[in-house]
Amino acid sequence: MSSIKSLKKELVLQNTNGLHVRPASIFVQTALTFESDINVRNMSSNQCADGKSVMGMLMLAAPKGTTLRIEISGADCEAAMAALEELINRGFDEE
Amino acid sequence: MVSEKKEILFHGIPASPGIAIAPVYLSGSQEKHIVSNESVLILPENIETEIELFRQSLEQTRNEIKDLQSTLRDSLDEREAAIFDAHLLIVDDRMLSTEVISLIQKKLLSARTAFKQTIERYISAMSSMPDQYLRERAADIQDVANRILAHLDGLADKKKVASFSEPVIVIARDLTPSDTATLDRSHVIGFAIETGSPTSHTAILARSMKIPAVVGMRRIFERLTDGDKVIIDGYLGMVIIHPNPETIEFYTEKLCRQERLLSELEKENRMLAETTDGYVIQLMANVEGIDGIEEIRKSCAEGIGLFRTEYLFMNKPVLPDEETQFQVYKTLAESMPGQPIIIRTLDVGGDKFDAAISLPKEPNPFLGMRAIRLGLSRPELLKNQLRALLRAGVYGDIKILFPMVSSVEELDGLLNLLEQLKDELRERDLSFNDDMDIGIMIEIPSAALIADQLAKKADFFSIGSNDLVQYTLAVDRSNEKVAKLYNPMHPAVIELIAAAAGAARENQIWISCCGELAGDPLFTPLLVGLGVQELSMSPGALPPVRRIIRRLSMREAESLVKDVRREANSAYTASRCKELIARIAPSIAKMNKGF
Repeated sequence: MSSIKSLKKELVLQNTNGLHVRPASIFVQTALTFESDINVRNMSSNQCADGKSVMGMLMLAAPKGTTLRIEISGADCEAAMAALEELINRGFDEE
Repeated sequence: MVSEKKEILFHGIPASPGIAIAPVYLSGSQEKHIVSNESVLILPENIETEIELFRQSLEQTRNEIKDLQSTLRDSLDEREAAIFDAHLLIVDDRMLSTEVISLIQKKLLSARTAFKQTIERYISAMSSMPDQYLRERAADIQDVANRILAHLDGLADKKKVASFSEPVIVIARDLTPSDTATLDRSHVIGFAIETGSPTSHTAILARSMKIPAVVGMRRIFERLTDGDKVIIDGYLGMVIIHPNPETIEFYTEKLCRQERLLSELEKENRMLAETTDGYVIQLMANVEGIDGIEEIRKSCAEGIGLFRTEYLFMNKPVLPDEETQFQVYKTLAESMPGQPIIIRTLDVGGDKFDAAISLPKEPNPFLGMRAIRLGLSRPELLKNQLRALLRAGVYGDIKILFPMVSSVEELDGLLNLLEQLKDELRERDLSFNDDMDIGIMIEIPSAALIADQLAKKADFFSIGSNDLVQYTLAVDRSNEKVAKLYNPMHPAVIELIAAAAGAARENQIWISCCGELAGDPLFTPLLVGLGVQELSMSPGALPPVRRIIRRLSMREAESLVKDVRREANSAYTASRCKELIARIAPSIAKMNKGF
């Protein structure tokens, strides 16, 4: 009887322009490589989005400095969390 | 009590001869929905069809973006390329598609309406975001949305048009090349449009399809509903709506006479276009696309006198690259072995607006950036086309024709460009035809006046009569206010053709005419007498012209030209030409008047 694994983590957006089209799509592209369900919440507005939908991520309207809560549930949740955390902390490789 | 609809007669400008009687299909009537933002509801049994339509439009948009991305790969930096990745993610977005599909299922909205409502909600949410940078990203979504909407429209149109099961007459306010491209042509037997001129796209298309067309029909659209019975008289330029039984009988009889004469003329298709005193005129066909080949065979044209390449570039989100064009030209060459094929390089600009090539609006497009002017200033487009043509020349008798040449310097520039491209092909180790005939259009008066110099550098001339008349007389025929002044029999036009033909003769190069005059039997004796050796026209126009030539003597034609040039009066020219036709081919004279 194994219950579904899940993880939660709060991360702060580092990149200058916030979650605009390019970072959002890099995020979604990465998210799509994992099986786990990924949800992202904008802690300022309390809005929630599917981390595998670029439209949803854009709707979060998250500028630089926003705290995002990432909730991942599924078999590969650890790997997914690690990858997404790295992306956000690297500032999506933006100059 | 059935209220009989009254017969009404509308006058326009004849654009393609013939008669058609059929129910009407109003093209572009759906646009009202698009413009008014009206919600379109569907029936429950159509839910699956609409969902499928939506999925297809996503599929097409995905392919379109991928094509664009791969075409532009070399010229984009990483950041720009990533934008296309983002666009692809929007197309594939599961939240978006789930919402659209649920609107179709639950609210019975059409795919288009459902998509539009959903995407507009997103766009307005983004546009109201406090962060300016994020706000501006709404443009990306709008861009993708426009692509998807365009495909939804294309699919919806096709769906509607494909449902023609019987012959129809298409009536529209205006038909753009992309409108006509989506028409199921197999059932269209006539066109009438409110705007336009006899040289507009619709008119050319109608003539190439051998179906009647009338243009400049004002205020007819609003008087009709889909399925109303109409008669098009392409000879007199009339459309009759709700015809009464006597009118229908009258036109049905005309239709029979027309068919009898055409089938009689077609019996002569295999005969040589030779004058009674032994001069052979090459009869060639104008073609718009690769699918016209079968018709050319039937008409027994001796080759293609004008292959317009605009249609390869129209309605394409991505321009065809060298390889794609090469395949088209090669197929064309192989399907007509041993026959000359004259391919004109891209002639966009002027009225031939093109979606794939973004051209800035110009105050005076006919005097602006069109044809080789565009080709020389943005050479990538032209270079691809010329390389493809040079390579395809190995597979058949392809000749290159440059439109809108106005000076010797331009021709020099083009010939240099060709040599440069040949060097490139040698370096790439690709085989090509080093000895292709290169010709120029004579359609700008300056070219006719310096024809002697041009003839020393070109291998042939082709007279583009429509533009030559318009530029000589400074008349835009699509402008109703001055259309009356458009007169191909104007003595100045005849002198310019005579100058070009004289220069061709002296320099021993050949000269053809591929404009509208070439396919009008009334002008045949005049052109032959002026020394034009080749006439190229839509295949449907060939039989009457062939008959005229077979009954004409060069002696008669030359003496006609001599008289006409001496009198220098267009009314005199017209009456002499009519008189000659009536004498040598009375049935064709009658046909021109509409029997």
